[in-house]
Amino acid sequence: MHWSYAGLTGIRLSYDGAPSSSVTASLLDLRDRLTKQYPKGLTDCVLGYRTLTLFFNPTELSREALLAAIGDLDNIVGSQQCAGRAVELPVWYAEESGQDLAVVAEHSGLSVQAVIELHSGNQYTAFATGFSPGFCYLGNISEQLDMPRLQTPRRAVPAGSVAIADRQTAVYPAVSPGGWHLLGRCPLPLFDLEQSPPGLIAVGDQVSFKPITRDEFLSLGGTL
Amino acid sequence: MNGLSVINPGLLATVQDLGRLGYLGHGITTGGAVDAFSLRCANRLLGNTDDHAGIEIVLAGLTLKTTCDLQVSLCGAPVTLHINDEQQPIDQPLYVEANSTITIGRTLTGSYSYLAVKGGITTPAVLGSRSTVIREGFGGLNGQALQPGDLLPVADLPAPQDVPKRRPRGERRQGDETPLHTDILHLRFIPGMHYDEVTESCRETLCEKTFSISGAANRMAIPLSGNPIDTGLTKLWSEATCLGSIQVPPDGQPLVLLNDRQTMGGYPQLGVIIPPDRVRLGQARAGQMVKLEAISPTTAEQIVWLHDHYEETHLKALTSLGNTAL
Repeated sequence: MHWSYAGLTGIRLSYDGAPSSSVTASLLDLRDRLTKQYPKGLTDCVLGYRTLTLFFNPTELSREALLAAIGDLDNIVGSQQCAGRAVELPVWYAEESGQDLAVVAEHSGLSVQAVIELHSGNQYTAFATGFSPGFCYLGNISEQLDMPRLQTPRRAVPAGSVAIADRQTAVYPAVSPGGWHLLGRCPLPLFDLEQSPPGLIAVGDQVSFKPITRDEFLSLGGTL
Repeated sequence: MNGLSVINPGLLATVQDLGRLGYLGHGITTGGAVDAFSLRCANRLLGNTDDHAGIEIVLAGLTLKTTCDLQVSLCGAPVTLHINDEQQPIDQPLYVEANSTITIGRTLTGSYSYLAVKGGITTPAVLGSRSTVIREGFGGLNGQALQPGDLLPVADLPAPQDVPKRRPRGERRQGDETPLHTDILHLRFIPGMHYDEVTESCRETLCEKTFSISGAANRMAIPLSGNPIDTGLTKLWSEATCLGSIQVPPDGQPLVLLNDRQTMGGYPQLGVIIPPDRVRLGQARAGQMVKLEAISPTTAEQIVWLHDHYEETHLKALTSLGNTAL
């Protein structure tokens, strides 16, 4: 690990190796330890794939004290695994809901059914949350499904779209532009301001996808 | 319900306070006034605390009608202010009778001005803030910019009967008439994040050449155009963005991230512009020439400390004015 400035009131810790569930688990442990130690001093803690960016209130906590509390940077990442919740998301995989199923199948040399089984047959770690409220970066998907983003992003991807890009997968919480390949739709709201926390998935959660039918999608509240 | 009725929102006007703090880890951006100091000044002039929401006005064109007697103040970019066709000074607490028309006119410099109301705008708070983030659809009035016909609620305060119904008349603030385009705006930043991963020549290009503010600036980011910067970095892992980050996408044209930025980004970030310079950049207009300058964290701390001290002194003076003027 090494650290760098993220402005005068931020510290960015970055792991030099590849992201993994262990890296995320280690960064989460560190985040939880520091937020417990400095409930007022730390204003925001943001996990990336292999970074933890800590923003602090300089009238409550100095950079020196925070760095001292972080301790030896080489000892942060250990072998622990994410102990997050298991979250199962129902997904209606179909040409109607996932426009790119056929393209992904062709690219990977698999049948559409095999693509669905490959995507829904794994558990994924939530590496990071952000970009937009409720958006969660999940990984890693099977190497066979590794595909670059669309050349030209779509102007509007429907809310709930389940998509893949590189070794990542995610659900679009709201209608937004998007360049990922679409496999299906999830009927559950990923972000709800009435809930606390408002995001359905948190960093460290273990997420899996369960294939459902069109009728089940509709009865779970999905809209076409 | 009483408040301010929107006749014409102008280019863009939104409800803003100091932002939604503490939710970056949930993917929720801060929002908030681009020039927070000007909003705080406007609030202090009325005896409000800093957390009251006001209206952020981009450039000009906002016209409002009061549905009750109100006390207001306007700070920030040196716009013209008319109340019922009579020009009024900015940077002053003003008493406005019910059924008056408030018009924000043009300005030669600056981009953001702030209209505060005694007691504050009282649209519902979302996660502790009234700031509007249009992209995310929350805060403000229904998560949107002001629309014609909107009625913005204001705090229900006892009618200020003892207040002399005077309207201070005054001249426009002096010294703001010269457009800044001719001067280069220096943006001092603290190197960090991916700065150590880029080549020496990339760092040199970043600080040697001047850039100009492109016309696509908004509350998310200020794009700078100039000689492209080649970071040589591709395929980064997404990570937190910072307020004031210098982010360089593949086209090599840097973006300075502002209040409504997305909380995560996958492009290289080379440093963070110190807050006073970020606000100056936010207030600047398209075409303004800028130059980036890397400074040490120690130097940055000294500049920011002095700047904060100046701001606090100024705010204290306004507070005593705000508590006695009306």
